[in-house]
Amino acid sequence: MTYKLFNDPLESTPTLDGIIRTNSDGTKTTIPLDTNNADYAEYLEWIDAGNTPEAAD
Amino acid sequence: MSTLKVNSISDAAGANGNAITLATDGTCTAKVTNNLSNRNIVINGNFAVWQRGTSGVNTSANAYLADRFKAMSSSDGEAAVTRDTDTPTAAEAGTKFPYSLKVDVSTADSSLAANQYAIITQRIEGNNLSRLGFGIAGTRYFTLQFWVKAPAGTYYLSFRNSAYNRYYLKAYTVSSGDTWEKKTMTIPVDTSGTWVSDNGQGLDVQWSLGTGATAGIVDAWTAGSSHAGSSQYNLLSSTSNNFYLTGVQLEVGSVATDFEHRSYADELDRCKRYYQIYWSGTGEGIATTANWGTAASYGAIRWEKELRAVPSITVSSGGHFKLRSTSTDKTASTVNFGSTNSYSSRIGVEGFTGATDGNAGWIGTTSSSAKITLDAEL
Repeated sequence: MTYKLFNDPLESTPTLDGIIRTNSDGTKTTIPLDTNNADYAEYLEWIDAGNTPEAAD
Repeated sequence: MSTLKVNSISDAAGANGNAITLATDGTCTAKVTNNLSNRNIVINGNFAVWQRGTSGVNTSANAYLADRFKAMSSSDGEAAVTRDTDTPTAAEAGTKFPYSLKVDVSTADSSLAANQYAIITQRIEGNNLSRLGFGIAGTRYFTLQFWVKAPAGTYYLSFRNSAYNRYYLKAYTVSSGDTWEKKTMTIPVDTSGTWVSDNGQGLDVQWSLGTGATAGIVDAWTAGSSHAGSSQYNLLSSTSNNFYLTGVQLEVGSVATDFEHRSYADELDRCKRYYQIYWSGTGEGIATTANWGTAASYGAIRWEKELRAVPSITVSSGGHFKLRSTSTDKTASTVNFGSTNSYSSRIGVEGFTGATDGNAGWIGTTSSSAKITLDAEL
């Protein structure tokens, strides 16, 4: 499982719009920047553990 | 015609409280144990709905399989979670449940360490819990009932708040191993602590399947967090062990009423507040779009119903989708989503060449495995 930042492709300046998680089965999950989302809460715990996501394209 | 003038009606023994209590204003309060609707606060308590599938998840994945029920474990053992047709007979239960949730131990761990455990949980949304009045003064109760089939022994239910700093443990005994038994327990509502009453996690209801942690305090709301009390049976102790659960109902008050069977459509609709399949299989009705340059196209989509919160969106593969904007289909390499909220999102297909900027199109599939799912679980 890996995390990659996702910028809004329609914005002219880089604007973070979500996190892309590549899952163990190869599927990709777009995680919203919302603390009420369980996957985002898990991502924040992953960050707190000292990990760094892949930069956005 | 005559009028019966009494203050209350109870059973012959009179030891179980009043079945009907009459007030001076002519109204009454009755403990009716069947047929009233919207009693069961638990969703999918009869395990009718399995949107994610019916097998293929282990407890260590800490994932949902049956809608609204999550299996979790941290141990050296492993157990498979599946849907099962083994349920109490109509003669046993007085009703019939469509399915049960089965936990089948595949790798044993006979000695769980202090930080190891296995549980099944349903996290109840605060919006559905507010009627119980958690965290405020007064004497109130809720009652949980369920059917279980498991090895004989002592097991625990753990009730916790979202911050996991308040818990209540209740023991139950499986008397006859691997035989369906109905368990009922009445719990006082916690008058202390912080309890969520909005769309966040209100009450975490957990069935402990084993823990190596120090036993928690039983039969009292306590500060902190615990999965189980003393002598909790370790389901993971043997690969011969199975745990089945069905007929789960949690309701206001101190009486366990008949299980409230809702229609499949009603139960599915409730589940979709937490998880939805937006798309599955072949077709072309995913979204209409407008081309943004020559290598991308974007459109707006709305969810079937509003979700509990902004969902995570999972796509099977970008290559399972294509843009149809000219006579030549353009297969995507990426499907992305933006500006997502609890009821809609923007979908984009990218990674091709030769689209005409500004033209309209729509998104179709290239594979029967194409799938888009929305997850707003607690």
